[in-house]
Amino acid sequence: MSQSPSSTLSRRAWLASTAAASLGCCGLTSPLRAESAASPRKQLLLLFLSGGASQYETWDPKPGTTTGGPYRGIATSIPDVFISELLPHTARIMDRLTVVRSVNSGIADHFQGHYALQSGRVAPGYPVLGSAVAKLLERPGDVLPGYVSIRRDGPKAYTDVGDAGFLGAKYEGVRIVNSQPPANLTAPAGVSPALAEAIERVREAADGKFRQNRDGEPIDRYDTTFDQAKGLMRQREIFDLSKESPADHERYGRHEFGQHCLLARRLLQAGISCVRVTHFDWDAHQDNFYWHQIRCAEFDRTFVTLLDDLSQRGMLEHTLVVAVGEMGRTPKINNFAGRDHWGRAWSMAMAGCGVKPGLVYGATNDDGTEVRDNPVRLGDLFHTYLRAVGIDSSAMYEINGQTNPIADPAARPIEALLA
Amino acid sequence: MAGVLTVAATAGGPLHQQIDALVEQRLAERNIVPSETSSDAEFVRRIHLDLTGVIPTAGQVRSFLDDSSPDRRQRLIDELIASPDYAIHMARVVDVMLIERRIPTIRSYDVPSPAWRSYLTQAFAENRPWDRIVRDILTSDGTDEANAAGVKFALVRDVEPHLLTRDVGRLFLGIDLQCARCHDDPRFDAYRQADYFGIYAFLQRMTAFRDNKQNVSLVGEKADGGTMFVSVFTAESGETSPRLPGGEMIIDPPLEEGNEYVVKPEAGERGVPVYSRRLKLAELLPRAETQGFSRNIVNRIWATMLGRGIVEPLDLHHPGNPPSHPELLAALDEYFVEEGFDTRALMREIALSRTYQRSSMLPADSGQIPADVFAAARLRGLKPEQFAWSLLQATGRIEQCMEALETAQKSDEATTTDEPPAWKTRLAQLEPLDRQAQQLAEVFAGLPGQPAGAFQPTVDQALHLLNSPTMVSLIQNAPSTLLARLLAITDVKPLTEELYLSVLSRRPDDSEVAEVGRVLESAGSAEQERETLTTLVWGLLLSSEFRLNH
Amino acid sequence: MSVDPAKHSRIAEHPLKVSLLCCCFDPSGRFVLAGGRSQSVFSLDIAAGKVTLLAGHESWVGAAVRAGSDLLVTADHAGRLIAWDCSGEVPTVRWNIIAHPGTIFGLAASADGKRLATGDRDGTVRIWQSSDGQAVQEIAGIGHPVTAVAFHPDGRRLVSADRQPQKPRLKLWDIATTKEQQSIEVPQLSGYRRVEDIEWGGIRGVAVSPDGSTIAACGRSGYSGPASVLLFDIQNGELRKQLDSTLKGIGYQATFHPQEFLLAVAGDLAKGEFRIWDADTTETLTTAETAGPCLAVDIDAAGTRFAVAQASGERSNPDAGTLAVHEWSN
Repeated sequence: MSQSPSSTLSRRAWLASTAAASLGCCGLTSPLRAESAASPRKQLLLLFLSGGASQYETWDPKPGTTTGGPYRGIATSIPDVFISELLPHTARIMDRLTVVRSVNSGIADHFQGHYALQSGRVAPGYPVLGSAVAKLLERPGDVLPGYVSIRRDGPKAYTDVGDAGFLGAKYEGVRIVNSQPPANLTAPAGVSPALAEAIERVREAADGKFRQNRDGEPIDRYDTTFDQAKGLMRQREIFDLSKESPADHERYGRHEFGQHCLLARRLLQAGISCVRVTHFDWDAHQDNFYWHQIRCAEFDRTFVTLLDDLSQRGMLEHTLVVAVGEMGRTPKINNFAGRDHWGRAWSMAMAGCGVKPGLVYGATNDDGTEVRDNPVRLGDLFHTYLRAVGIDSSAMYEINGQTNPIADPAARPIEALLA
Repeated sequence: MAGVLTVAATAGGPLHQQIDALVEQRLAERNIVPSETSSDAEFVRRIHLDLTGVIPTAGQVRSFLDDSSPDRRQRLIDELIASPDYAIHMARVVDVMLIERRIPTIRSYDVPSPAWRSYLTQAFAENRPWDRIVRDILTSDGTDEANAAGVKFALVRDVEPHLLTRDVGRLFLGIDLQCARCHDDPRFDAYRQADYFGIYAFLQRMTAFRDNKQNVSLVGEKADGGTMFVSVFTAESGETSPRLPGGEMIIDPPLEEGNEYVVKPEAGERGVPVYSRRLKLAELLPRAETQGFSRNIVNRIWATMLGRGIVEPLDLHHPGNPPSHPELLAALDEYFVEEGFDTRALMREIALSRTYQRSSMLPADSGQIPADVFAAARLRGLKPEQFAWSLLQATGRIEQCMEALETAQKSDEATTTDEPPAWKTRLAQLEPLDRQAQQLAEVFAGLPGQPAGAFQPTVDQALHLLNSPTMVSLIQNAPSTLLARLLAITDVKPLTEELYLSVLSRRPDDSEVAEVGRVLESAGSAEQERETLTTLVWGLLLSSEFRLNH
Repeated sequence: MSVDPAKHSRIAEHPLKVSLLCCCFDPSGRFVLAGGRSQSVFSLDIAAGKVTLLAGHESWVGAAVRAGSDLLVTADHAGRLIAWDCSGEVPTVRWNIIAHPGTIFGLAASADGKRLATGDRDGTVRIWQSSDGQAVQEIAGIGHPVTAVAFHPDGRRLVSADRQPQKPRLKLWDIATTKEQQSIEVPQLSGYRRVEDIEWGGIRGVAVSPDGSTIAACGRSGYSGPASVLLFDIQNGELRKQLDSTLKGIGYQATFHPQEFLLAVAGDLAKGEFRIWDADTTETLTTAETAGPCLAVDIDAAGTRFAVAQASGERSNPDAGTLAVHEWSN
């Protein structure tokens, strides 16, 4: 079900709902809001295959062709559907995935491709998926940040296009680099709980006095950040991977991607609206086949473990998992046995909330050089992600008196993919 | 809009009176009762923040509050606006306005911040007219020594013509030509597209040039390259020569083939064309005749002082987003052009206005007052730089730094030969604190490439204020002096006064004195007293009253 | 008859429409078989100057080795092993098996030709009977792709090379017991870069000297380092010598001539070379640059000729390769 734009977005409605929430009186909320507040929040997990995974070595193998490379296709749990032999675990749960084999982004550049993927358009200044979801799925009284981005340190610049754009710093992703929690989650040395409480009393008293006869809005806004800070401090263990069992560490894999996915599960469980895990890096200009062997092995087992876990915990029903890079890789294999940048015919996969399982959508031609059926643009995918988590992608943001379409009006959701 | 000037406005008089007449006329029309004039304490804090970028010291507040002369506000405005701190502050404001905290893709291909800040500080210290400042920036290719820093505007945008086009439009003309946000009306967009490519044609020949020998990044230019555009809506295409919005096309002068370059762009050579479209833009754009040029900056300066533009957002001047006070904008615009783009004079007039000097306390029973009527002083977040420097001021670090320097200077007085300009001396004096201030400001800064919009505090900032070891040190340790000063005072009343003057720039009221007395009474040991005072200082630094400009 | 390592001339050169990965003379020395980025095996009849395409593989053909008096075995990236009978006019299939679940990188035959060894991308080594392709032994759990294998002349021991990031390894195995006798870390041949988290180097080729005392391992020294051959003492695993090429690239394969000099091939991203080293003095006896990277080399059974398999050096035309045959004089 999509929430109507006015109920989620218009500033007046937002203020009204905040006011209602702060009154603590559920009788004042509309039935729509009461219902949505009771149901679990929709969530989104973006597994970003940074650098651009090869469609041939993942979702759309073309064995035996000049473009196909050395690897074979293997049978999957969907009859007559084959994926690359590098994803044997994934092949067994293919019936739970929604795979698109006909992405034509037309962009063969890391930065532009990533931005277009993340914002669903080419024009600059728009919020990335995580920021958008954080904003659009936000509920009054939220303490935790809406968007957390997990990656290793030192990737190339193109892995961080991401920011909140005109939504502002509040919706900027909290970045977890190398599994390190955000800064300043514990009191500094020498500050006892009693002292912290005394400081808080002085602050509150000062604000109470200052508020008299003044516009309360910016004061409230500032106060809220302290409430959120205290909430995060109380819940700082959500960032602490050591709380997960050794068995889970093992199951997810001791590599960065595995550990980051385990952290993602933990954060989703804690109620973060959107988590992005960057799987770095897939930019295999040389030695593509060895490279994909390594990356696919990491991805394959971890991805299936993660989906199994989310499913068993009942989280997949309200969590959309998206696995996608910023582009595909060339049909032509270069003389360094690499594949280069390619935007014209490539693949991505989804699972979980709001999408049809066991569906392979679109197709490329025999050697994979062109999309043959149902071309899909990144803007269409952006609409689709939002729709899958219950957001009306045709709605508008109203920010600082400006109206902006949430998703590119020139693109549209792919209805065939939506459950 | 020019036809509706009111009687009051056309009647002349100083600009600040016109401002008040125009604002109050609108208030009267809408039956809105404005707030009272600010108290002296509100005024002294606000005017320091707006003209020097930092809260006043306890001493400055005390002497202003103890001054009973009727012209004390005007004198303070004149004193501050003439001070080197004004130039330093304006340099920070314009830095953030034009650079928007961007860094180039290759971080080192940049003009170092100190050089850029000092360049801008000098400009404002000399009260260089705004058209000249803009012309210098657009002219700079990084080679001319006096003007080399201006190339930063292009470098932080990677000398990327599309990005430059958009930001020249947004920041110098107040129009977001690439307005991705206005896709709704194809006709409107098509009109913008022609304007967009008109500016783009001026800039598209620019190239980034890295001089590895000198270790500097420069801007070069090609002598060829036409501009084609295709409408995304109508699929119509066109070719355009350079053209400013509303202006004529500028046709390149005919040049003999082979004579297009002063220096041909080749490997290791920076291209310098005989005819430069970029320099043509620098010549034509910063003029009163250019649609939006002066309107953009008066609106931005108004917003800097009042916390909201007459057109808001600042980069969206267009027919669908009219100004809240068209006549006022026109009056400011006219004044600014007549005064020769004198930013200092404009700031002074705004500061003198009753409108600027209103209290942030709303009249009783006023209900919700719309933001765009300027009926009361707007509560706005301190800008990251204002907040950082105010933290250093409140804790006594700036004064301490100055005192240390004075002592040092007295010891080698003999060496003074050529007196450097005041702005340079002041900049050098603040340098020891600059790093710390910038680190603090970064915590509170917005996103690179995004206009600094409304007050949007974030949770990581709150966490920093609550838990960062930096805060402990700032409050408790030397060279901060506040805690030590407070510990040296035994009586509650002067102690509370020193605390409130230092942090909140006002005297405490009786209940506040009593409250401080109460908590101090329960502190038995010296250690406990220190802790209690830490609590008070810290708590007030975290208060909205400190965080906001009010 | 002994040859002068430095005196050689090219007697055949065949351009092929595929980037080559391997080459090998048949036992009689009449044919050179080569494979690359296609499913075909190319059989060059040296005397006739004619190339025949042999079908049967289902992925890229990455390794070839001769065994005994009449067999030549090829391995592909889908785990298939094909034994070609070379006694007739053209090679024919003797046997054809799926030897591994995935890519076979390493392939070797024992000195007597009775055993074959294969190493795959999953870190498994298998031993086969050459005559019929029956499995004999398995060494599993190496944990990283096995990039090359080589028999010890005694036939009882085997060396595996791998691509463990940062510390690629040579391991000496007792075949009968599958016990590891020696493990040598070769960080010199790592081209690991943290930025991609990919091992760009690794040991690409391995050979044991005819006297059984030395292991030669080739690859690249560091991410941007030269192609190198490292010589290790097989007894104690000590590095004896490092032979660095002037070419900044990867040393793909090294092989010992019966006279104990060393022939190695290398390539960077566009060009390649073959080089003959005196393994004792580390002196380069001869070297030649080629237009594309050289991925493989083989010396015929008689020790008078060698073949070089070349990949494309042209960025715009990756689907090309060259197979060349050279002959030594004395």
